Amino acid sequence: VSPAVRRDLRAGAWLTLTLLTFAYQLEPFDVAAPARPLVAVAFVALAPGYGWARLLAPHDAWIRWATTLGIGLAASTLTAFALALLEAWAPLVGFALLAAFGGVGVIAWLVAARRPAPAYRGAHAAPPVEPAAGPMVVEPPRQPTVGDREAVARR
Amino acid sequence: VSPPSDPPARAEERADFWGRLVLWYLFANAIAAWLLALDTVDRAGLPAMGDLGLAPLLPTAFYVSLALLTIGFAVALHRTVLTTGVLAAYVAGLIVVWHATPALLYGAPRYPFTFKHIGLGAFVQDNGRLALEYDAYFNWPGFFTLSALISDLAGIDGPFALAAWGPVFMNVLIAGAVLVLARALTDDPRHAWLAVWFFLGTSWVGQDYFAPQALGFGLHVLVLGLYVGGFAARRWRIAVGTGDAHGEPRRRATDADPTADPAAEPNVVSTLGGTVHRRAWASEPARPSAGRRVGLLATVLLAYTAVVASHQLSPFVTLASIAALVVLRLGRAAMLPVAMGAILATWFATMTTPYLAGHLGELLAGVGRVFDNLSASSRILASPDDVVLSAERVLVLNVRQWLTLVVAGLAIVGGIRRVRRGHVDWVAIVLLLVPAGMVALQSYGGEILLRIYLFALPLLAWFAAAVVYPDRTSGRRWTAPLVVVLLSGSMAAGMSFAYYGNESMNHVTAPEIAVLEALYADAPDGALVVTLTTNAPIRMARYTDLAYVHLGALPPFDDDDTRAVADVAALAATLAARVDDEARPAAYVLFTRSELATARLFGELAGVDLAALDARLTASADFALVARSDGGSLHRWSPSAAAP
Repeated sequence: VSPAVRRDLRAGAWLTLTLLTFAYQLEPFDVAAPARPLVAVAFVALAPGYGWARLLAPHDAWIRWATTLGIGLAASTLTAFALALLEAWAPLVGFALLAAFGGVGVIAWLVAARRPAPAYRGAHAAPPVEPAAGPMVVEPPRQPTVGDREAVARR
Repeated sequence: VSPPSDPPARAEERADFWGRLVLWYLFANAIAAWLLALDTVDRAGLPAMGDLGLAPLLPTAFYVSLALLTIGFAVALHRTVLTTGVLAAYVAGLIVVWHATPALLYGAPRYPFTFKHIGLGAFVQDNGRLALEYDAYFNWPGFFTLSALISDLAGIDGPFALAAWGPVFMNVLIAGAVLVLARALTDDPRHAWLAVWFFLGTSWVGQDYFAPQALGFGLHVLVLGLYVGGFAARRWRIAVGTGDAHGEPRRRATDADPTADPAAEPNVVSTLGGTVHRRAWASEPARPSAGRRVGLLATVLLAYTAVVASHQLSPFVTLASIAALVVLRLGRAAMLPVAMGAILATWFATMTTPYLAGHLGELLAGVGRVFDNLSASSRILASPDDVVLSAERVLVLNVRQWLTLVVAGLAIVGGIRRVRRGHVDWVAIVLLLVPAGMVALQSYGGEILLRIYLFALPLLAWFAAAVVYPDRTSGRRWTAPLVVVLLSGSMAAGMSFAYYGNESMNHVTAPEIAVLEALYADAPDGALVVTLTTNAPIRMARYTDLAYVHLGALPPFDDDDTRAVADVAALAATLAARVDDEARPAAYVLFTRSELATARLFGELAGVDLAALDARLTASADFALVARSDGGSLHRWSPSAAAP
């Protein structure tokens, strides 16, 4: 599967999760469906930060997921707090705000992913081998035996 | 790039495939053993668990599951090709085994305090607003509003169902954040993943449940990880030499020229006799792009604001950590701590004034009183002198001390190994030491030592992991996975008692919840409820309707001398005075099983036979029994009943 197709599949998964969460808020589905809490937790935890995290940590999957979770919970916390503080509590409004925030992130990620790759690939990517900054400081030679699956694929 | 027909590459891929298959098979067996363990636990005996907690009640299959996970993880780390998906599965497995076990066995949320947090979420969900003037929880309401929003989106009435799974979810968040931080501190993924493993194996303090501190801690570690990854010096290396007149390091004539051949890098250990110099940014990687720096800063501020909105203590540690890195020139973005300080100050100036107005003196009372704050915290880690605890309880406390000392000792050894390899991790050292400064501020309700340990633990675990993998070139011998298994096994043995040692009070049973529901059904608004301890599973519903006081705060139970001879008549007289003074419509006395366990474990209300007191209340004409179950009892006192 090409990277472009994988990207589209991931964006589709984000959209599916968001639409499913929205569907559960509608009157005909407003029932205690067993899957509804799981969908709600997944939406709040993942949807707001999914695209943003891919922009910030594009080359390490598990750091990306951890960042996704952190951004999602932080954005959801502040959204819910604002609604309660303003006495404008409305779950649908909260959902819409989080979906919009996450949607902008996904669009920004998709746009950025179509650009040529930058020279430096992210704060959390493995640092590039660089020339020594001074006569006393030298990077140890990289060991070819340690690396992740992407390194193997590149080889 | 090797073509597909390249025989060495194909052989490597085949070996990789079979290696992964074996690891997944081991993982499946670990999960199967865990499920078998769950099936064979005597659930009816759980409420009667003793002072050793849950560990003795868990069958052998539970520990077999932990052993299989440990062996599989150690082997996965040692493989030539590191498969992070397998490592992540094992970490997830460890989280599930440690934290989903109580959730599935109990069928109800753990920790009495969880019930208060459930009630706060339910209040926001029901009323759609905050009660800023009511108590301090509403001054830091972020976590509770989040739980209310999730409950509404999930279509459930209150976050009760979510709370049982809080420890699992929070540990996923925290473990992910620890990975971000650990990965930012090292370029060796094995080191980072082992740090996460060690963290989970030594995080016994129980601050990972359905609580604001868990969310605050997870986001705190994430903020540190993102900052270190984007703005801190990645590594500091020792430059050895005598230094010139300007303080610049000068290489000794005997040292090899490292620029001539990188493989000939001098062993800095052998030349440590000279002055050690540091050069800022010496081995710093290229900076992230401007756009990514802005994104990282925005994310850091977003997460930090959520921490500020959720928890009192965590944002101070976050701010102090990043400010220390900036001040010591170990990190850039000098305006970031200023912005964080502004957010924190704005919050205190706007959201917390109702709380600070009545508690500022109390908050500032502990500032500078280091020894008093340490003393107040010692009851949680050591057996106090003034009470007699069971031998089992003393064992649990000792195991906690030893587990803490073991991880600290491993961290020291790991740090030394890093130095011997030429790495002095000043960023990690500063982040490790900053939380200790909290002890100079306050005792935090006697929990400050626990909090310091918790905030330092990601760094302690990171240094401890350096015992096995001090750098990328190390840990290739067969002894490395053996050491991982031995250390993890020791940690698991300690963790099972240290972490599960409080389960007799953390386990709130269904019969207890039935008594609580009877209280919410019977009590009129404004009623006073007397609990046995401060650790009562109260406020699950009608959060602002009822007032609570614990027995140890009421005369004659508030005095060591009069407590032992206190009788029901004295309690009735105290309630009469209290109800009269505060114009309460009714008063209740609540007994719950978990509170009795709390009193036993911590030596509270020493000298009072609580079971006998419960029986005397039942027989007294001043009190009426409202509800009784295997989990406790509820007694109502009313002025008419007590009148002569």
